[in-house]
Amino acid sequence: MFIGNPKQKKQPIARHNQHIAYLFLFPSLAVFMVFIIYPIGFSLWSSFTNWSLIQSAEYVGWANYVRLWKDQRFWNAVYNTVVYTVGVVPIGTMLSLALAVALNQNLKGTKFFRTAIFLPVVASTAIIAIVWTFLFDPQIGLFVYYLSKIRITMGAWLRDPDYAMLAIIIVSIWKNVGFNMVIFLAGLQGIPYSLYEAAKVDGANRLQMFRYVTLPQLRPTTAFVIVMSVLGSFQVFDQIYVMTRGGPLYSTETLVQYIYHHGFVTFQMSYGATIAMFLLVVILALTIFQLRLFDRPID
Amino acid sequence: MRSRRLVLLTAVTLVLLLAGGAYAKTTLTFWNGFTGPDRPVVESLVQQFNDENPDIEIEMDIMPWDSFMQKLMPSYIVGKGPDIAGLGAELLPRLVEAGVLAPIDDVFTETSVPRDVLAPFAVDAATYKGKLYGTPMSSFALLMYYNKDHFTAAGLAPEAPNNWDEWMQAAIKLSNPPQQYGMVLPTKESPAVWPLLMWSNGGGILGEDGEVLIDSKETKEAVSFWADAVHQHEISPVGLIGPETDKLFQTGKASMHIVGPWMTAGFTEAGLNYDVAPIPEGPKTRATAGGVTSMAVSKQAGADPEKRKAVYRFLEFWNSEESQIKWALGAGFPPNRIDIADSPEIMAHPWVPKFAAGLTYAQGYLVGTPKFSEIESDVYEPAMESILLGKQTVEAALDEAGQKLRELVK
Repeated sequence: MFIGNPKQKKQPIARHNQHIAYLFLFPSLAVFMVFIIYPIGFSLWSSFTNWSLIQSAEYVGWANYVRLWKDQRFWNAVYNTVVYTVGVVPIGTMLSLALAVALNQNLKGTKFFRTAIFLPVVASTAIIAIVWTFLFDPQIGLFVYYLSKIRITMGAWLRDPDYAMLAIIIVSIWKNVGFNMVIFLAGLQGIPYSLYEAAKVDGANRLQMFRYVTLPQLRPTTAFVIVMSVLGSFQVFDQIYVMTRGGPLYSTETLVQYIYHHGFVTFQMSYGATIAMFLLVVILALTIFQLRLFDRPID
Repeated sequence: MRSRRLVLLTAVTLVLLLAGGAYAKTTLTFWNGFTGPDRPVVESLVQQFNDENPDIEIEMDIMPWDSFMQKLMPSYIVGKGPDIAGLGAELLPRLVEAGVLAPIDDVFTETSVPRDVLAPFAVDAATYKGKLYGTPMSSFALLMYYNKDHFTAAGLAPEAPNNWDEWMQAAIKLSNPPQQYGMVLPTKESPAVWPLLMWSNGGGILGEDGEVLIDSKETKEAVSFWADAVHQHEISPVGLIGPETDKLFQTGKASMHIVGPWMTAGFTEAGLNYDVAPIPEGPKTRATAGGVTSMAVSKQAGADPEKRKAVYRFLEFWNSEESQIKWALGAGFPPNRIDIADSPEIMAHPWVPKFAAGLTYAQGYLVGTPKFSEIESDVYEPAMESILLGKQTVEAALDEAGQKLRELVK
């Protein structure tokens, strides 16, 4: 960042440039303050009140946080969020890496597959969720029909607490794999070819080249993909809202679903804000942890 | 030259503005959730009102029911809510408690629609703590739809069963899962099918005086009777939401189905050979659930004499004989007025008289409590889901539900 360049700091012309820099930053900074910082501050404040849209807010201290600690449905939502993340991130990341490597070859048809795999990314999640609800439908679902052709019977997954989350995870991976694949493709193309040539001279086979050249070189890319996927997974909402509304029996109710329930179904805004605060802290901690973990030079 | 033209232009603009002011219209905003096949009927009636009343302009906004409620409450809180809201009776108490609706007890004396021509059930639904907050926009009772071809194919007379035993026998006989289900029972986002089964046996969720009924002996009996049939004979898939049950019946995969009048159009269009009948009589009584959408008036509109007058004109128009006949014949809903229920136009309709008859003994589902959403989503739905999924026994699930409900309403 040029603003903080110490060499320029003492020169008046640089200071002048700084002011101009802030001027240019102002529009996005203003938007950031109004739509991000202020709502977070407001949520923090309301998590210490009993604000419910209906009644005016009174300060209640840590009462909402105590309630959170004892709330079984909240811990169920935490559990479901973790299950979802564990289900989506590793498989989604590996799959998109595999696809990227496969489609990075100079073969016929790669352009077609790249496009086909990327297509769900540009479609709206809500619409994709509606389509998959139909595909999973036990009576008219194509997914169910084709599986039955190969003698696999699946029941009504979205109505079965043991399978609903699996269905959601499948849809989410399918939806996002194209995006991560494109990031990996960009990463792959940034690896200098000379490294592979050197490895070849050293007598490495393809597997060894992948293990000792591709993977280490891709570390920043992988870090980006994993951090973004974890962030996205902790905030999953659309597909669950459309496909199951958190059911059956809360088996797909994640944290954001539960926040929504308090915010817009029962209108207990303050308690919803308390859960949101919890989510904020968890996501912040996870992100810092992951960035630290991946913040090593490429060896 | 140029400045003279400017003066002229200003003068003309001013005159136009003033003239416009003389014909000032009272603009009323009206939100509702009639997105279904009934939408064109609502739209044409509002259009007719706007045409007939040049001094009033109704600006209508139709949105799906689920986003309707999410938008309504916050809009009222910041003072941007609609002047008239087509509101489900179950949502009314919460909005009254929030202080955003105006009582309109004088509407029956101020307009030409007296109280006694309207269905009492529909008027009561908009009454909370002794005050009236709206007049009926639409009202319905649930009836039983049955597929006559399925009955014949199963060797049954194509007639609706009359009591629970006949009903259960038919449901079992008609079930051939997963091709065909005898009687579909939704647990979520649906009309109050399970509650009406509870009422038929003298049980329920919450009594009229607020007493907890969901863990009563009668409720448990009723739920066991039907849940056992689901478990042993698969008379219905488990975990259905309302639209899924409609789809099952529409595609000929369900033989009996309980729903309101809005489905007749779709089922007829699908070419089903069906009829509607009263809900079979239960061990204790014949019961059905009714629903009312009231036109509720916002506090702001109620406080502005000009607007209040305009609102009353619209409410009067909506429940006039002429509009109600149009509404009933167009939307297939029973008319809100009982004095035209047996008029020849209405009687000639294939379904409307049957639904109107259902209204005479219909009960409201969880009406009169501001905790409607919590009771439905945190107590009733999870209990039913857990019973039908076999996670809990009827006894255990309903005892737990009773406990939670007492906590909520105390």
